[in-house]
Amino acid sequence: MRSAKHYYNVGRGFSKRKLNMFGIGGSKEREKEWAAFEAEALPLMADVFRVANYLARDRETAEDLTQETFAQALKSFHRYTPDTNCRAWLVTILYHLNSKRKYKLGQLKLVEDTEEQIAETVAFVPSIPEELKDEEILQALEKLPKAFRDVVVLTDVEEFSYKEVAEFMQVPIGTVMSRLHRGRKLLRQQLTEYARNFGIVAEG
Amino acid sequence: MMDSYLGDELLVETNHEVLRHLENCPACRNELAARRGLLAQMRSAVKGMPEVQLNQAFAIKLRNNLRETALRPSIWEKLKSGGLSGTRVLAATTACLLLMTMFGVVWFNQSSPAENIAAVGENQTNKPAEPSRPTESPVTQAIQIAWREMTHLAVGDHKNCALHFRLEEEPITLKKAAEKYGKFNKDLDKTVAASLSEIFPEKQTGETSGKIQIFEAHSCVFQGRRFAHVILLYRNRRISVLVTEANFPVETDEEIFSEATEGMLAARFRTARHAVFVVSDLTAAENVTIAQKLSPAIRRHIEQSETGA
Repeated sequence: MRSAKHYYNVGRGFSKRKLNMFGIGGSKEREKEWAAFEAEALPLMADVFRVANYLARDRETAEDLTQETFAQALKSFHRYTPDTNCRAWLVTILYHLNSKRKYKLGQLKLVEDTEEQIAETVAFVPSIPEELKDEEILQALEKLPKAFRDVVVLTDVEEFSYKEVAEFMQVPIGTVMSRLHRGRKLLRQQLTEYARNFGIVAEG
Repeated sequence: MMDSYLGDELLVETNHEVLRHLENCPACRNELAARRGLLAQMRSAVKGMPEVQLNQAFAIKLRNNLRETALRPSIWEKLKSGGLSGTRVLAATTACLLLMTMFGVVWFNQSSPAENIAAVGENQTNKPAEPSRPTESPVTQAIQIAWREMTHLAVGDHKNCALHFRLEEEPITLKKAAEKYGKFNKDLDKTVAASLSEIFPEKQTGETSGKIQIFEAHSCVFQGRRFAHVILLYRNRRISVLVTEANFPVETDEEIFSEATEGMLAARFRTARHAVFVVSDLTAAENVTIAQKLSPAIRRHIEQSETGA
């Protein structure tokens, strides 16, 4: 059990940070807050931009999203618990902003249908061929339906946990797991086809 | 399960089971190694794509912007340190007050009628005041605007002809006007004169200043509108009886309305095609009484002139 002193300190820290958010805190508090932000959040800019790029698939929009994400993160930095997963926190903001952007553009749509269709097409789990080129992997990834590709990229490439991905996408964790399972299967199927075409894997 | 194992998403117990199995199963070990290899290659391939690389110029610019936002002094600090000069604060406060006053004035003007249509002599006369109509049709509104405009001209003519002669055009006799501008002009003064004895009958005896009498009668033009103008004299005050053609529809031709406008009292009534005004600076009751007493004779006069009798 945590001591009363701990809660007292947490309370003090929080109120100071909150005051700072309203621009009431002094310059020292602001500098301290900026130093924390600079140390924890800013080094993750490349990661956030990469995820923004997967989402937007265009550099300009990805840069806009990154900028908005960090501006929002700076504003809400008092809500971030220090030494927790800052990368996941930033990507949650990014996903939220991206949904807002899509909603404005009228692009927000559900993906359940695709999921069901794809489920039927995945029949077996092929083993992974050896000696694949990077381009082949990227092409195979590109061919995945977006809902699956996003989950595969976030989990296998960006190494976010299922729970974190579920929070980003605002879907149940089970949905993430099923999309991931199907996405991986599809990816392997795709890669086996490449390998077969290039004679890496024997037919049959 | 193999992928979940690689992703470290398995429960501890399941993880141990997988490890135990792997010790004794070379096929699974190979498959696991292949999958691990694929994962590593996919990570490096995706992260190495040129399009997902962060532009350094953008990164520096964004960092600087964020830093500026984060370290910007608050308004309180600016006030405390005098960064916001007293003059600027004063100017902003004055501007706010000025805006509030302006909004207040606009609101006040909108909530009170532009013209104070007064109920005439509430306790002195039982003449009907213009009834208030909360929901007026566009036609009624148009008629009211026409009345307002015409009343303004009648009062203007009274001021600029009967009180101080400042008209651009010389008045002409009613006889001449009858030939050119309508038969109603003819002998209007005589009709008015015949009804004078009926106005204030109790005051017609005694001193001469208390008598109401005709001062002048002519046809004149004020701001483009021609009036048959009979000027009466009562207690050394001038009263204008003005008759003009009115082509807007008759709303009610029986009632006499009265209003105080531009420092004068204007009582008015209508016939089918004419509007009649009595303008003076007497009391409201006196002004309305004059209009009331003259109205039957004037109505008859106009009617007869129109029928050619």
